[in-house]
Amino acid sequence: MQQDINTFLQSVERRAYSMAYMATHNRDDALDIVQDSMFKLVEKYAKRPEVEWGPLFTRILQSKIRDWYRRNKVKRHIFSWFGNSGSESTEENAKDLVEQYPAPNQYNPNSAVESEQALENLHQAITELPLRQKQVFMLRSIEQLNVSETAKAIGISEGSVKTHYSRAVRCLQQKMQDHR
Amino acid sequence: MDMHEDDELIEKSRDLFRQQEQDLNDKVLERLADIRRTAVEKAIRRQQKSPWQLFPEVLGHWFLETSTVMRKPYLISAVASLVVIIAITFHMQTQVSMPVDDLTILSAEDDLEMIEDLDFYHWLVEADING
Repeated sequence: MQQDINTFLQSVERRAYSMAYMATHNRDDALDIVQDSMFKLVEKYAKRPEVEWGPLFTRILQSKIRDWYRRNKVKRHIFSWFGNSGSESTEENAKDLVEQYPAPNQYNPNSAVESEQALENLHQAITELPLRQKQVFMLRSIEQLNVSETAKAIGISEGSVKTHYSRAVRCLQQKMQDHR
Repeated sequence: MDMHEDDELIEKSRDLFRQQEQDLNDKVLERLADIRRTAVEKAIRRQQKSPWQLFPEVLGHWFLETSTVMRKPYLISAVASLVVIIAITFHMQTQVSMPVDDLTILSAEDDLEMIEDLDFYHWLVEADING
C-alpha cells in the first residue's frame, strides 16, 4: 500500500501544483494546497480502492482551492478597510512568475518565440478567469474530465459546468484574439 | 468561434500545462517530494495504529475542521444569531419562571410552619386578652 500511494501521489503532484498555482498565483499557497490535499487523501481515503484515489484527490484539491479563494477574499476585504491590498507579496509573486518559467537554456530550441509568447498570453488569460470558470476549464480541457466528472469534482450541477466552460472558452478566445 | 478554434485553444492549454509541469524549478520539486514523503509516512502510521489509538487524532482533526468551518463568515453570523436567540429565549424563560419560584417559596414546609406559628401567637394574644 505504501508503494501504491507513493506512486499515485508522485503521478499527480506536478499537475496538482500547476493547477493550484494557476488558481493562487503564489508558490507557497499552491504548495500548501497540494500538501493539505495529499494529507487529507491519506488520512481519510487511503483505504479506499486505488481506482477511487484519482477522482477523490481531484475533488479534494478543487475544494482546497475554493477554500483558499474564500479565505483570500475575506482577507482582501479586511485589508481593503485598512487601505492595504492584502497581497503583501506582489514583488514575491512577480519573482515566483519568473521562477515558474524555465531558464532560457531549458527551452526547446525548436520552439518559436511567437509560440512562447502565445503560451505566456494564454497563461495570463487563464489566470485572469473567475475561479469557477478557471476550475471548470482546467478540469475539462487539461484533466480531460467529462461534464459529469467535473460537476462532481467541483460540487456544482452539470448545467453550471456547461455554462462556466462555454464562458471560459469564449473569454479565452477573445483574449487570445486581442493579443494577435 | 468555431470548433477548430476551440480545439486549438484546448491544445495550446494542454501544451502550456505540460510545459509548466516539466519546467518546475528544483525548489518546488524538492518541496513536493517532501510533502509526498510526509503524506506516505502519515499513511503508514495510520495503518499501524489501532482504532482506539486513532481516536485522539480524529478528535483533534474534528476540532481543526470545525475551526476551518468557523472561518466562513456566513457560518459565524449564523452561529452568532443562534446564540442571540438562545440568550433571548433563556432570558424570557427566566422571567416567566419567577412567579413559579415565588410559589415554590410559599409552598415550602418551613414557610407553612412559620404561618402556623403566627396563628399560634395570634391565638395566644387573644387568649391573654380574653383571659
